[in-house]
Amino acid sequence: MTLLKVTDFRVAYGGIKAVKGVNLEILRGEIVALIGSNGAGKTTLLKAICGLLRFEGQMTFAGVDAKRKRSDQLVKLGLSLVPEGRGVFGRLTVSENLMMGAFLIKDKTSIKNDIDRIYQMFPRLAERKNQIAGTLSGGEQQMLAIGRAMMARPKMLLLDEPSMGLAPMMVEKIFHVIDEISNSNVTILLVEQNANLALNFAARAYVMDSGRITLDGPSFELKTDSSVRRAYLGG
Amino acid sequence: MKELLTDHKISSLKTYFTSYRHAVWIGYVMIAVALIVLPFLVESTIGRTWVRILDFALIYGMLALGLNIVVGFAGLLDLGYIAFYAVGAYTWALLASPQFGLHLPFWVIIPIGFVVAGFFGVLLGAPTLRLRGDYLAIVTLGFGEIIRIFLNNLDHPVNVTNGPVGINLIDPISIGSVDFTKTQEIFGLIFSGAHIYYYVLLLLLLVSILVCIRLENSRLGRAWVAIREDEIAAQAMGINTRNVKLLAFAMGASFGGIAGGLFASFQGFVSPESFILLESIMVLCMVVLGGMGNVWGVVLGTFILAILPEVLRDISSPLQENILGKVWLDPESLRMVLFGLALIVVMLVRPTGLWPSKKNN
Repeated sequence: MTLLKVTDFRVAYGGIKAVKGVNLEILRGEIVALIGSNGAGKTTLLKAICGLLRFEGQMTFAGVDAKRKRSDQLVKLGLSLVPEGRGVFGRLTVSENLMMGAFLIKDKTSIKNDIDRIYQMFPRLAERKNQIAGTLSGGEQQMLAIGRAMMARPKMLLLDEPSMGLAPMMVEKIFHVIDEISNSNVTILLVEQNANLALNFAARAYVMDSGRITLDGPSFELKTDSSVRRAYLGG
Repeated sequence: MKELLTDHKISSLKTYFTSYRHAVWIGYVMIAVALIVLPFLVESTIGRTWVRILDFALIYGMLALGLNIVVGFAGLLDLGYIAFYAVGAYTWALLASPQFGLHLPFWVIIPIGFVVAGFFGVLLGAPTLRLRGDYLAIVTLGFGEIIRIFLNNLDHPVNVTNGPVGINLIDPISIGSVDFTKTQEIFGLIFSGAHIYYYVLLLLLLVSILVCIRLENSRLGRAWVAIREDEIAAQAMGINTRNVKLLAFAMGASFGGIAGGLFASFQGFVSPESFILLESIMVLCMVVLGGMGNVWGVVLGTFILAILPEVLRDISSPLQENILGKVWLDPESLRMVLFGLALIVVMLVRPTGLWPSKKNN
């Protein structure tokens, strides 16, 4: 069943066209990767899907026409973004950050249960719950950003470069948790520059180049595709 | 025996806590008595002018608390804040003076001033939603000047504001035939106008403090913090950043509007001169020096900055005479030099303000 579908999706910054007619279709429960080099328009596409930028074209999410919906309405529908560069609230504590993630949820006891669940997922965050988020390491901040997005109880999680600037060990840990999240019936759209990592993790992928989707298909096929190998996998 | 001990422990804990609560209550009562007695003391020791200075400090307190909502809570730098003070003051002036022959009672004007200033807050907020930091500062600065220039020029083609001359004979707050700016005698005690206004303003400042503290810990307060910290992330949390920012502008402006109205009624006179850029900067200094985002810090900063220049005015002549034998420097300019110096020293020693908010460290 389709969860997110965008058709002829176009985004422009003033006169500069960053996304030039993209089609995506993501099914419930899938893990899909979106790979591409710097400046391909991946982050722009993600931001527009989340309602942070205006776009032309069509978009439906969870069976609802999502065009012209504000970001807060989309969060309510179950679309959560883990922004590029984590975007944790640097001067708030870890637990305050998590509370902020539950901004649209009113029931206090269920928020408390959700926080406990996040702490189980990331024991490191539980150890540091009263620490100021700005003083966490990069990996811990990424954990916090993911945990915070999960507090909104999303149907679908959009992750923008979760591996950026992290040590390989930490990347492994983060992806392990993303896998766990996927097992709990949350659909994942993963934007990555690290194509190797993304193609090994996701079942299916889209390749984006200069604002267009140039290729898409199961990861194992893309991994052997000669143009993908040349451009993104180093030979 | 063991049980007895625990019982004993519990009862001693209980007495400890009740006595602690008592101590807190006694503290509150003492502060309240001190605040009530303060103007009597001030008037009998250093003169009635100082009660007026206290009144202005209280008005500035309300202004600074309003600006703190915009700058401290939501992180939106506003350099034209005094415009809302002007809007509030002129709203009162036009609705209760011979200018249009309207003489509405204060309990009608205060809510009108609140709404009108809030509306102007939205008027400033709506076109600047996408601006931040220095860009926002420039636009707000322009807005403040536009309002002042409008007030200065709205004496033609239709005379609304009386232009640079200003509006005179503004009604004071009054209940029945009791005029709050006139000296009253109650139970043999003499209350000057400034003295009565002190209580009115004190009450309103306390209400403002209470409202700000409640706001800070509310859902809206948390949304403001999120916007201040990272706007994109705030949106990703499902915060409607547009509405939340507009609310910050509107609420901040409403505080300014009420303060402005009280200023007009207390002075009995308003003119555009009272709403120059320097005033905006002064209020911003109060917020920053006290501790942006912390309600008590802002109140502290206001009192220091409202009272310090007056103290310096009084002491700068005698100080020169005592030390140098003669008045070398004009006390009026010397006090501004000393004032600037004091600001610089405080910001060097305590860059986050005298009493910073926990979250700004």
